[in-house]
Amino acid sequence: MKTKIFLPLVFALGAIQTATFAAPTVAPDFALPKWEAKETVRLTDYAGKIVVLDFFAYWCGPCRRASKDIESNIQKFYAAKNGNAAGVPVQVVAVNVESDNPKLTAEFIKEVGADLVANDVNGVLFNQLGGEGTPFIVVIDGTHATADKPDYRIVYRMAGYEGSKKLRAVIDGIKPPENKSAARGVSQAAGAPLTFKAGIAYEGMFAMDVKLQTITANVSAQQGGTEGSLSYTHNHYAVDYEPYAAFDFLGYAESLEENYDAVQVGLRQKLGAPLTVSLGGGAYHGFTDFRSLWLGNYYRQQFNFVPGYDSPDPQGFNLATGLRWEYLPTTGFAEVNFSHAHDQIAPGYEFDSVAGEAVHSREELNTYAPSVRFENVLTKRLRLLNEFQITMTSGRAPRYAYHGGLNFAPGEAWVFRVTGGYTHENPTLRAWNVGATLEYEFVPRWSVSLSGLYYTDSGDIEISLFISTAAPGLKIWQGGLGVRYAGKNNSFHLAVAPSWTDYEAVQVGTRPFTNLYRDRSWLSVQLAWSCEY
Amino acid sequence: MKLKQIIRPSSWARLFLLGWLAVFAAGCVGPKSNQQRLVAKPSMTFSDAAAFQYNSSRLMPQQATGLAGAGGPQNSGCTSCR
Repeated sequence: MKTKIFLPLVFALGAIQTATFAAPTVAPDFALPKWEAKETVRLTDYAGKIVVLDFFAYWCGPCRRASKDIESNIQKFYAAKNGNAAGVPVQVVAVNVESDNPKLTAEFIKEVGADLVANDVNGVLFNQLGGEGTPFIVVIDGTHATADKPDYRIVYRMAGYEGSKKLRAVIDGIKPPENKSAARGVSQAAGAPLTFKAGIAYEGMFAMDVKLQTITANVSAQQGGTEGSLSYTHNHYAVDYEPYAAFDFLGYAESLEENYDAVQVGLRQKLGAPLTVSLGGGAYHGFTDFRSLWLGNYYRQQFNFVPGYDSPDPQGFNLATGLRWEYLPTTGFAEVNFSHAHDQIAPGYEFDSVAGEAVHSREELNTYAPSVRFENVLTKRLRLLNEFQITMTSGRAPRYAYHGGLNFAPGEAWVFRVTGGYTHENPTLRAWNVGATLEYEFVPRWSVSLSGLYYTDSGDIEISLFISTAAPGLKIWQGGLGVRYAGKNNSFHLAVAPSWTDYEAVQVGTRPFTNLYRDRSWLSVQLAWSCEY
Repeated sequence: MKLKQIIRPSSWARLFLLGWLAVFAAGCVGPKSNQQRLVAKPSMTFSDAAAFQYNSSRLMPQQATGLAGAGGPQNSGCTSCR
């Protein structure tokens, strides 16, 4: 009985798989209208030649790089050599799949220098060839075809661009049927185009007594399926430390200034068409946040004259690895990551009256964090992100976190983004947040945005020393106004966002930190620049 | 029988989970290439580029520890916990 149900199911699934993924090896005959001309581009016009189809859309960033490279390193290269290694002529046909905004398509064609362009705006040929995302490159061997015998064979088909080196290897491998030994040797191929990305991001959060600033500079280089990245972060904290006099008789007010520096490196390598592996690591020195700076200063004022006290020297390192699977070209991604962080923190102290010295709490933490991430394009207007993470830190229960995002394009010039998250750690931490951003492109490349964020948590978990440093429950409201320029190579973003933090009343054990956990009004400024060449 | 009795709060949670799973499943099939113009805009992607970050303050997690990503002290919040 089970077999009766199971076998048809297997065949049905097999049929679905075949229907979805089987792609033809014989090229379908096509006749596409030429871009801005009344002529037609027909496959049958290329008997005895090699045809490279480069499917593109003007809004597709990777297409821009691929088409530019194909035109200069395939079309012009083989035209200058009068054919491939065996002397077979090569013709690149750039195929446009986008019907809207012909002006922007014309700009794209001019920029990449496409020689022969055809239209497939209904995606008929694209679908016949099994295309699922752009750039989509197909190499057709027409050496077996004659005017009477349309024998065109697909020898290469790839969603994504592997570079001209790979394409030339495919093209030079094609030999005329009557002259299989007449190859002139495989031409020396240049590599895939080299792409550089860089960015600088500044953020400042200012309250009356606390001023936080961070700046990050990052660079990355990508060639073919390999990408390397390097980033440097510098934080500066300026805090007007003020003890809570009613509970802190030894403390005194003072101005604190501290720096934090971190470097991070990363390497990504494509293993095949759908899989990318990543490795990363980094190190930092300095207080990771202004709260630990405040708390560290409290313990310094209380214990620096007591034997057993050491000045804090926070530092740490991290290692991470991940695997990304593009299970639907350009529209479906799944990612698995695992990270390990080791931190030497500023510990808390209490006085051991028997030993007559200060004893500290845990000063080293190890954190292991596996996570999974899914990104999907659901419809032509909706993109979805889901992330789940488990964080296991020394001496603590596992922390479970979810983060999601939904991006919706209600119109040509509008983008609406919603984000949300939930964090859970036993026994008592529950935190959730929700945010939204509405962006409007008021002139081409320039946008304004309005955003809001609400965050609430139930407070840090109190498993502390005699004096607890755990923050009470917190609520944050933030509003924001931003402006962005998104150019072809350079993009800028400026945002101003006031926010308000509202803590619940501190517990008896946390009274010395009443001034740390007081309500504040903040003004946040974010400035960022990104470029790509 | 009143509606409240038929759909208890736990049922609402299950309903929400089911709805979200349905949305998830919808991600198994993407739109065709020539229908991806709007979703391919840089402002529609979940980009790492600094100029395309939204609602992602790098300083906010210093107070809102539930927003923090991986990392020991960032996730512990309380620096003197045992």
